Amino acid sequence: MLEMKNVTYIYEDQTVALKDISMDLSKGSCIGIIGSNGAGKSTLFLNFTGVLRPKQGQIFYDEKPMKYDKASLRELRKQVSIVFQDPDKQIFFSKVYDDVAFALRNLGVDEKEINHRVNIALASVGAKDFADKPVHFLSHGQKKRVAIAGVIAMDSEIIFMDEPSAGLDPVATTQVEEIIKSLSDQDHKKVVISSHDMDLIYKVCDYVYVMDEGSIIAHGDVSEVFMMEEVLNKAGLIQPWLVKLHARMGYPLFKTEEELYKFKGCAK
Amino acid sequence: MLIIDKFAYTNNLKDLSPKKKFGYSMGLLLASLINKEPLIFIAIIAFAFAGTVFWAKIPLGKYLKMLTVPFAFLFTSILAIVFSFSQDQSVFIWSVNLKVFYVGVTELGLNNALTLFLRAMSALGCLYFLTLTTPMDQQLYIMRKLRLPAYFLDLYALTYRFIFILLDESIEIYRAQELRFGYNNLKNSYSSLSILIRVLFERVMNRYQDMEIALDSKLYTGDFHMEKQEDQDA
Repeated sequence: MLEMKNVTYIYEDQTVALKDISMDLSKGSCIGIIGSNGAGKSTLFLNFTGVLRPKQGQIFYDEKPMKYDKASLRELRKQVSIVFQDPDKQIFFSKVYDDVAFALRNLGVDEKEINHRVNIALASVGAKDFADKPVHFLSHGQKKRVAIAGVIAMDSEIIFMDEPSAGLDPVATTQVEEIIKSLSDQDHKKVVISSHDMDLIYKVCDYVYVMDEGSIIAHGDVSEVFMMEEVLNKAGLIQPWLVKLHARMGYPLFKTEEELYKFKGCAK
Repeated sequence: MLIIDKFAYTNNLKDLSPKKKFGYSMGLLLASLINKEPLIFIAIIAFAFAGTVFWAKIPLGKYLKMLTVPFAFLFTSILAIVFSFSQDQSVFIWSVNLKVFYVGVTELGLNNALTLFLRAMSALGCLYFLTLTTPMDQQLYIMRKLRLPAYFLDLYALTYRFIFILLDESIEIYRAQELRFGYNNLKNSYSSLSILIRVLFERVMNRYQDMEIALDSKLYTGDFHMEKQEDQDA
């Protein structure tokens, strides 16, 4: 599992993006990293995936310190993959199939096995319908799902998703939500999400880290962290609406919208 | 969205075997390179035209409009071939006396210009047939069959993918400028255009950096693998 110990990262222009961060990803099965724009979430992900190298501190993978030679990074990235915010930045092929198969072909996996895994990945993100269309004909939400399929096909242990719901419409957001849930619940993957969509994080994550100006200012179980209104406000964030109902209106704390409707006797 | 690309994916012949389409257009292209007879050129143009407009059902208006783009370049080069300069009036079939020398039209020049024009138009017709009826993945399939080097194919596929990203970015910048009156007169247009080019370059470089990171995380080792589409062999 991945663990960060006292990591500090400073960019060339002397911006301190991460300040003495310690983080243990074994604490939950779906982990949320929340913070305002520029809090250091993306830098954190790039450090975890070995793209950036901490200036101080260390990152451990399976209790061993991360090494930065080519062979070690390759081994790391078989197990640690990332979905970027902008799908256009990680889709290189005009054919959906070729793009999803890309990492597997780089690993020299047998074409038969590739075919099997690509089809499963495409089905699991509901991309079968548009798998034959060229990528530039797809909508943003569809491209996002193709990018996620590319990572699912790699079958890695840990999946980072940078702002998975950014720029998506409600239906596409729900689809991405369901993909994340099934990845962490059914496939037992470790999913790490960064977002400022508090409702999304509240729904799918079980452990949350709050970042502010490069530091972690709070962490804990999802219901615990979202009750700390002052901490959230300091980080430029707000409480999820279900938590607000609980904190301000005295309702019990519901995990999903459905629970609320059931409570009020309005469930469909 | 490029209109040529849209037609390639939606035309009536999109599912026809790429080998047949490639054979048809390359056969006609070869004929137009060897041939010197004006009538045969016209026949080739007619075949390419029929293939594109009647067979593949590309709208006639759009097709003619697409032809006018290269036609402008062709026209200027034809002019240079038709007119020649000489001090001897007898070589011309029609000429103007400019005191020091004559400018006019020779029979040879006229014939050359006609052949050039017809050859260019028929070659253009053949290539238009191919590009308008054959989607990108089918073109790549043909190139792979012809055993073109893998590097060339990678470059071709990547260029194709990124044309659309570049196009989208430039349209986005252009619209943003236009909405703030960046193109309302000539002076503003020049400065807006220079900004557009600069911003586009910066974005391309940023994208390049992001792409390197994404490639690393997908375990890129130097090859862009593409599907071997043996199933399209039929």
